[in-house]
This record gives sequence, structure tokens and C-alpha cells, in this order.
Amino acid sequence: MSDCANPGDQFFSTVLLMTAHIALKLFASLKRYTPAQADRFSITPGLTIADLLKELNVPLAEVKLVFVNGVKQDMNMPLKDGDRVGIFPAVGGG
Amino acid sequence: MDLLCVLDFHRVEMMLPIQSKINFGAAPKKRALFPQKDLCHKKHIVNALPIPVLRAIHQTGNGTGSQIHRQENEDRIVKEEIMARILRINTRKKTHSFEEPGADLAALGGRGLTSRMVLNEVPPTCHPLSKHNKLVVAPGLLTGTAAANSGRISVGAKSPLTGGIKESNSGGILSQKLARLGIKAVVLEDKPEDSGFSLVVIKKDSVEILPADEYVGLGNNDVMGRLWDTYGKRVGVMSIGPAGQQRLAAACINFADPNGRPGRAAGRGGLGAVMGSKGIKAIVVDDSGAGKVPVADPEAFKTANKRWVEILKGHPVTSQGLPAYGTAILINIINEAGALPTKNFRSGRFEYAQDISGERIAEVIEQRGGKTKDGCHPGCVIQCSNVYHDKDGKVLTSGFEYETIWALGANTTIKDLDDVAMLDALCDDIGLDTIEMGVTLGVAMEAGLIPWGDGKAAIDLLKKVRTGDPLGKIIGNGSLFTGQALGVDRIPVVKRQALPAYDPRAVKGQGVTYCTSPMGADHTAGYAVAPNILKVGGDVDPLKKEGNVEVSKNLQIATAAVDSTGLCLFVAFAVLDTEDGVQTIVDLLNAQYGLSLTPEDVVKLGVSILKDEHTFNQRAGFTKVHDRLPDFFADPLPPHNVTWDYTEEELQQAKQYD
Ligand code: SF4
Repeated sequence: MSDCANPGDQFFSTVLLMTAHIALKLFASLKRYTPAQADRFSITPGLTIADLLKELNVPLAEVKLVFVNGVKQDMNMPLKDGDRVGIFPAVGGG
Repeated sequence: MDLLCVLDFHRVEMMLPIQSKINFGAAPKKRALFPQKDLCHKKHIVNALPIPVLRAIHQTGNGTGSQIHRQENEDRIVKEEIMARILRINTRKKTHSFEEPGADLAALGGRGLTSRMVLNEVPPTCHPLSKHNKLVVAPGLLTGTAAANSGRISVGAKSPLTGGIKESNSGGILSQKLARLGIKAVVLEDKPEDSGFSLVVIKKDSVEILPADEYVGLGNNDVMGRLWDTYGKRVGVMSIGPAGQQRLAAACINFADPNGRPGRAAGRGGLGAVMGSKGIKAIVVDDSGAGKVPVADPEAFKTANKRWVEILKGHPVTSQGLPAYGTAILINIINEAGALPTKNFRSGRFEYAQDISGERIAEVIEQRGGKTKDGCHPGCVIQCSNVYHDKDGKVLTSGFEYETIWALGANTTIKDLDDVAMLDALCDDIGLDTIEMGVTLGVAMEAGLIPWGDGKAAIDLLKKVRTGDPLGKIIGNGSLFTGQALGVDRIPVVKRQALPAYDPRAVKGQGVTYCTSPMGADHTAGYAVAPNILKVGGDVDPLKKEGNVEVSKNLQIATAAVDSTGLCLFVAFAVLDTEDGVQTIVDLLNAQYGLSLTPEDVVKLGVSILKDEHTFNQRAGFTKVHDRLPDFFADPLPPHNVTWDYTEEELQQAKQYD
């Protein structure tokens, strides 16, 4: 594809590059903050978990555990396309 | 990693992870004995000390004995008449006797007491179903008092499942009643020569051993219902179902909850078979007319209990998570962490986890009626239990817990929640350990006896245990026995006991507990899930070996101590995160018994219990080769593709206490 042959194409590919999709799940008492299309939720690549939670109006004080692809992560972890993200309040049992 | 960093510096404190985050830097607080009390008050406190505790202090020279005026102690020993006693029941002669606990038992309760008595009195090489085994039932040190969540009970014996020592812990209403009657332990001894069953009825002024013919063959629901009709609603009951009567190795002992249902069980290790071998179908405890449990310093006790309730009510897990969703709140998180054992430990993720999750259960209960929160005994301020109704709005089961739902659900790939609930209800009624049976059903599916995920077939198979069908007898003996009978090579057990609901490859601290606990594969014995997954009491990587032996060891020590107090283990979620959590438990104990224990003493208690238990197991023939996971755990577990990679030597570190 030649550079800038079609302004529409360029716009399209920029948007493609700028968007990533994550599979987002909020659990237990946080479930109520689940956005539409959470299974394929669009984010800007590199968005941190803290930013994501702010965007969704999830009170950070209520979040205890964040799993990205099954591994516990902290709030500053940047997200990328294809990530599986699970957000939990403090839970216990046994 | 704060847990480990701090632990490295302070050897004694190292053994007590429950204060890891905040307190370990400081020297343990020593409380002066009875601070700010005048001599008169001091005497009052000393007078309330149980005689055996005083004797123990005198004889061992330990603890605070030297600080207590000797003459006061002796006065008290002479004067005191009422004290917690041990009730022995000879199941052959149908006789009973009370005795004062000896010096080495006096200061013990719960697991500490059951394990010490089993070590002292049961020949470690005996057959668990023989007359030489004993079943010891003991409330905890705080049980019967107003201390929140202190009504749990310990049941100990040599286990017919593992062949080692066993302490199985349960809720229910019986424990507090025993404590109020001043009974420190009930011991079932010897063995009848005939095959009949008896009923033991314990009241304030009497102990009766009666023929139980009319209850023989009944499930636990009917037994408890009829006993409540006969002896009054609200009496404490522990009973065995058809599985215990048949002396099957997966048989449990069920305890009536406050609604008179058998939703609570001393589940693990086949203790129902021991009770069956003693020919005891049920024990009824009626505490009518009993006074309160004596408390040495009521004011201090009240203050400590106020703080204790604040701690439990102030932590999000014990005040919100557990009451709202029950323990099954864990299904989603353990699944997310890639550690939910699925299809007989093949994967750490179950596709249908959400269908059997705590969130889903709460929804169903809301739609159909039932209870999302309930306590297993009066005085529980957490209320993790529940009542689950069927489609017609009738009670199907209660105490529908995470381990049960995992075992009968994800592990067998049964995703219909009502089928899982029915399997749980059958286990409660027939008197079977839900964890052992879930894993056994997985093994049966592995063999092709019934199809994977087929709830109805599993229900039909489980029902066979009730009727004494040979296939029922096979599965009723647990996972290993069933696997051998069916020619299966994938049997997840340690010391013949089925693994619980966390894959050891993806929660390595928990795996260390499975391998090295004297109980066999047991999740409660050292709940490393807390720091591994839940960020409670530290944050240690579950997928790597580093630090996890230490984590398991410390938790095993702390748990042994907590199991001696009668406190529900779930208090640990709050205690682990609260600066004065352990101190508050110690304050309660001190106020009740007029002692001046420190958190250090609690650690020592935990270590001494584990030593007792390992000693019994060694004498029974256990060595480090019994501390292994089955070979197939060397295979990678998706999604993290982690393997079990500890050496035998590394694991043994979890049992080094000196
Ligand atoms: S939290 Fe649950 S297990 Fe613990 S005492 Fe309460 S109901 Fe029983």
C-alpha cells in the first residue's frame, strides 16, 4: 500500500493500531461496574489497570486483586491486546 | 514479599505469619501478669483457673507458674470442685466415667487435646477400626464463652483413610454445649462384641448409653430430625449415616447446625468409620441447666471480645465477601488464577466456572428463597454458610461450600448447580466427606464407570453407598481404593487422602501443605492460598517455589494453634491483616484462664501439636516417602503450564521446627 494513497485507509489503520481488545471480568461486589461488551472491551494499548478502573468508575479502594492472564498484577501494569483481565474485591473462603 | 523479608530477621516471630506485615519488627509484647490489678483481684483470677492448668504450671514449672502465688494455687486446688473433665465411654461395656485431665492435658483444648490424647493413648500401629483406636471429641479452649466464632469442635483418632493421626474440625451446635457442661473431651473407647448400635445422651447430670435400634440405617437428616423430636429442638447432635455404619474410609461425622440439619461435618479422614466401629450411631448433648463457662477475668474478656468482634466486622472478607457469597466466592478467583483443578486435575481452568460460582449461587438463592448467609453455630459473626433450595423452593442442601462445589463440580466437570447440590445433600445424609467423594467420582469417570460431567449418573452411583451395594462400598472407601479397584493410574492423593480444591502446581505453598501436613492432603492445615492468591498475610508468588516452604510451615504452625482455640479458621483472613489480631486472641485466652501468654506461646503451642502429630505418624510407619505428590503432578498444568518440582529434601524443611 502506497503511503497516504487514500486518507481513509490511513485513518483506518491508525485506529486499528491504537485499539486493543481485552477480555474483562469484574467479580463479586464489583460485577455491577461491568461495561457493555466486556468480553471484547476496547482500550488504548498501554492503558494501565488503574486508568482502566478509573474509566469504569470502579472505586479503587474496593479493588483488592487484579489478575492479568491468570497472574496477579499491580495497578500500574499496562494492558495489551488479547489480555484476560479479572478484577476482584477482597475475597476469602476455603 | 513482605512476609518473607520480615520473617528472615526474627526467628521466633518467623513462625507466626499472622502478624507478618506489621508486628514482626517489634519485640513481642509481654504482658505483666494481671497488670493493674490489686492482690484481691489477682486472687479472684487465680481462683478461677482450672485446677489442671494450675497443676500443669506447678509440675512443669513452665509459663507463669512462678509468678502466681503458690499458696493461692494450692488453696484453689483443694477448694475447687467443678472443673472441665474428660468423659470416657466404654463402648463394649456401655459404661462411662469422668476423670480430671492429667497435667499434660490440662492446658490443651481442641486439636491440641485430641492429638495429644491420640498420641498418648492409641497404639500407632493399631488397626483404625480395632478396639485399640479411640475417638476423641474436644471443644476448643475458648468454646462456650461469648468469644465470637469460637464454637468449633475437633475430632481426633487414628484415621482409617490415611493410617495416620487425624484431627477433623467441624462447626455445629454441639461443641458449645459440651463446653458449658464442663466437658473438655468425650472419648469413645474399646469396641462392642456385637454389631448393634448405641446412642449416647449427655445431660447436665447424666450420661446414658441406650440402644439405637430405631435409628440404625437412617440417614443423618432423619436421625437428627428424630433426635430433635425426642430430646428437644436445639440439642447438639453428632451422628453417622449409612457410610459410617459400614465403616467406609470416606465416612464423616455430621454435626447438627442451628437448624438441626447435618450440613456440618468432621469430614476428612474417615472418622465416621471409627465412630461406626465403636457402634455409636449418634451422640446427643443437652446443656439445659448448665451454667456459663467460667471466665477468670470477665472485664478483660469483655474488652478483648469487643475488639475481637470489631476486627472480624471490620475486614472486608469476613464482613462482606464471606457473608454475601459464601466460601464459593473462591470459584471464580481460583479459576482466574489458573488453579481450579478441573477434570481430575487436568487443567487449572473450568470452562463453566461461572455456572457454579458463589455469585451464581447467591443469584439462585435470591430467586428461589433460601439463605445466602447463615452461621454454623451461635456466636458466628461472619456467617459464611447458606441454605440452598431446589427448583420447587424446598431445602435441598445447606453449608454448600467451595470445596464441595469444586469437588463435585469442576473436578467432575458437572456444571449443573442443582446436580452438584443434590450430590452434596446425599453426602450429608449418607455421611460422606464431600471432598473425598468428589475426587472419587472423578476417578470413577477417569475409569469410564460413568461419563464425565454426567450429574445424574453421579447421583445414581453415590446412592449406592446407602444401600451397601458392592460398588457403593468401593466408592465409599475413597479415591485411592476406587482407583485401584477400577485400574486407574491418575489418583490425586497424599497419604491416601484426596487433594482439595487448589492444584498444587499453581498454588505451590498449598502443595507443600498437602505433602507435609500430618493430616495428608488437607487445605485447612496450612492455607497458603491466602498469601499465594488472595494477598492476605503477605504476597508470595504461587507459581514459583521460592518462599513457599516457609509460608506453608508458618501457616501449619499457626493453624494448629487456632484449631486448639475452637475459633473458626476463617477468622484468619481478618487476623492476618490486622496489627493486633493475634494479640487479641491471646488476650481472650488470658482473660478466660487468667494467664499471661504471649503470641510467642501460641507459636510454641502450634509447634508442639505438630510435633505430637508427626511423632504419631512416624511411629505408625510414615517416612518422607509418604510426603510425595503422585507422579502425574510433574506434567504441566494449563494455563500456566507449571509443574510440581520440589525435591524430597526441600519439602522436609517444612517439618523442621528447631
Ligand atoms: S464463618 Fe462459616 S465456618 Fe466459620 S463459624 Fe461462621 S458459619 Fe461456621
